[in-house]
Amino acid sequence: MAQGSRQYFAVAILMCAFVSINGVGLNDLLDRASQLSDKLHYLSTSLTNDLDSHFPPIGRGMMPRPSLCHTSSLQIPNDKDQAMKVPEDELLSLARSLLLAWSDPLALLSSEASSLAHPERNTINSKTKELQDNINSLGAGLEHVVHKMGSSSDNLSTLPFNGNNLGQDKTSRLVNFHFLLSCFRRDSHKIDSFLKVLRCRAAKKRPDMC
Amino acid sequence: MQDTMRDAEQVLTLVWLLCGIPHSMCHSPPGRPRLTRCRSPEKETFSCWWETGSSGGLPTRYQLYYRKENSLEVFECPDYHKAGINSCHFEKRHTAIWIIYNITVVASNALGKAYSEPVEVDVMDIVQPHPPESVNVSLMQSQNSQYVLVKWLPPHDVDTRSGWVTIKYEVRSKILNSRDEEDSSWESYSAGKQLEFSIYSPHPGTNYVVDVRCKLDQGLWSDWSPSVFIQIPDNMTVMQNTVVICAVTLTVVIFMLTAGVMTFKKTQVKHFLLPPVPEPKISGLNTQLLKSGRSEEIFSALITPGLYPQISQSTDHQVEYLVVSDCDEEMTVGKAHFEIHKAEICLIDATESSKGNGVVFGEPQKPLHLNCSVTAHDRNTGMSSECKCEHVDITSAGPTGYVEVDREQPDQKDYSVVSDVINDNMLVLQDSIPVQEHKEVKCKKKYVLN
Repeated sequence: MAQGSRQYFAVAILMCAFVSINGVGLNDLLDRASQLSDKLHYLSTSLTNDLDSHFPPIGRGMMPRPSLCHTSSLQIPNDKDQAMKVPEDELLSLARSLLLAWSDPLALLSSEASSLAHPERNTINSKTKELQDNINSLGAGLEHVVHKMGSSSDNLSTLPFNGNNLGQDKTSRLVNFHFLLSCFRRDSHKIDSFLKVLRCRAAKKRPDMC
Repeated sequence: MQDTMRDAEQVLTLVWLLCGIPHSMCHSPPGRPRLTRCRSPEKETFSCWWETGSSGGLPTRYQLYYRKENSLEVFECPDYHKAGINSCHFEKRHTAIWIIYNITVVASNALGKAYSEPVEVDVMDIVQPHPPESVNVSLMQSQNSQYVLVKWLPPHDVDTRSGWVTIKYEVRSKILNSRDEEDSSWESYSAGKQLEFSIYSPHPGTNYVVDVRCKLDQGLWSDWSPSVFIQIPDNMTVMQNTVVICAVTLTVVIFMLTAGVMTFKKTQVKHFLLPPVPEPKISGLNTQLLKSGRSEEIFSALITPGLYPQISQSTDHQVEYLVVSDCDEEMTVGKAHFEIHKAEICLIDATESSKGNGVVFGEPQKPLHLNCSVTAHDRNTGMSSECKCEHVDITSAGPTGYVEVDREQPDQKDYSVVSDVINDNMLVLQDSIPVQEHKEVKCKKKYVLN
């Protein structure tokens, strides 16, 4: 009798644990992911402002065009109507592809930040590190979302980044740093927008999620 | 572009030199316009505004041209009117996000053109909504406290239901002090996505002003909504007044009740407050009969069959009343025992100055007229004598019911006349009886009490 009740108890515990691991709803996962992507965009804007505070005027002229960002080849919706037509799976894979494309460049930025020729170097350095942590958290979170939504992981586009250093002289390094950051800032806004649309669509009966 | 610019400058200098004095006659190419700002109120459309340079005295036409990133194609502004004068409005199908727009404004008149500085715009950077609408504020009561409830609606052109934008609100409030010169500072509260906000514990007796604004995602804050005002009533006065009114009403009610009770139950209240001392009650003695003053009835009421043993038997220890008093008889030396028949209440009144006095037990309230006689029988000698009583008026001596009959000495309560107490219902009084002759007779009276 005691044996039977013990077994029953063990099963109940296991079920409970299972439910708790998978128990975090899709809505909550997407909400958390949206918060992280929002933070990501905020940090990148803040970093850009820090850089702009002491940017050499000549640097602006030297700035590469945004179309030269390594993620510009990715086909994304460019307005609301287009975005509303994109299915949820595709929105998720777009967000994940962009996120994946930035893990290497951000590592490069992080290593270069400490030796940047800029008076706000320390702040820039700490913020860049924070940016990296957030990206990793968001990546992990989106993995969970994929499992929840049941979409395949093979949909990701590869966006290779071919940079191992930012330049030879300190000005070009600064300029390239700024350029990379501006590319990332725009892409973080895209990720944020897609995830928020996804969040709202997944929570059909909860208008407070939109 | 550079050549044109140089030519324009040369022409301008020439014209300016030529038109030195007669200014009103002067015409020149237009001054350079300047793009002041571009805004997207909902991340779906956007508008740009510019300021004009000098018109050069000639009718000047303004045009806006734009080029999108990665394309060399130049387009002209699709709508010059929707956003007002010196503006260009890009509606939905002309608005793309995450693409840089390169925008230039050209001013042209008969004498030439002027180009503005080009501006690069990405819609994601210029998102600023209109202020929240229909802001209203009201004072609410909850349990024992008050709070100010602020409610509003999102700006009408923002789509808050698709997730394309996430709106966020901020409320600020301030106390308006009409007395002080300087107002207090603003208190700001973040209100999230909700459409209402509560400000708890507002200061009573003050005027509050409340504003609301909003922003979309990480964009720019909107302007503050038009201020709304609310007056908080003076809480303490209201409460104090209520308390005072209640207390006064309660006091009046209690007072009226007490007065009513006192009026209607006067005797009961009086008895409650000042309980009467219990009076000795003689069973059979009816005070009403006494009041009526008819002695026969009184006596007959006193005699109730069965209450006492036979009348003929005069037992010493069953008499409940009475006292006998003086006799003016000459007695032989020796004790004279007076025995009193129950049927008789006897009083002797000495005509001379007498020390004697008699005491009648009873409850006479009115003067009592008695007719009685007393028989004295001496056991030793066998002599007997009789005293005749006279009419006596008895008046009540006090609330105790004791009647003291003493005409000569009304106030005397002479306990020294008690010479002996035989048992608990017998007292022996000693008295000296003056006699007409030279002899003094002492009568001992026996009071038999019940």
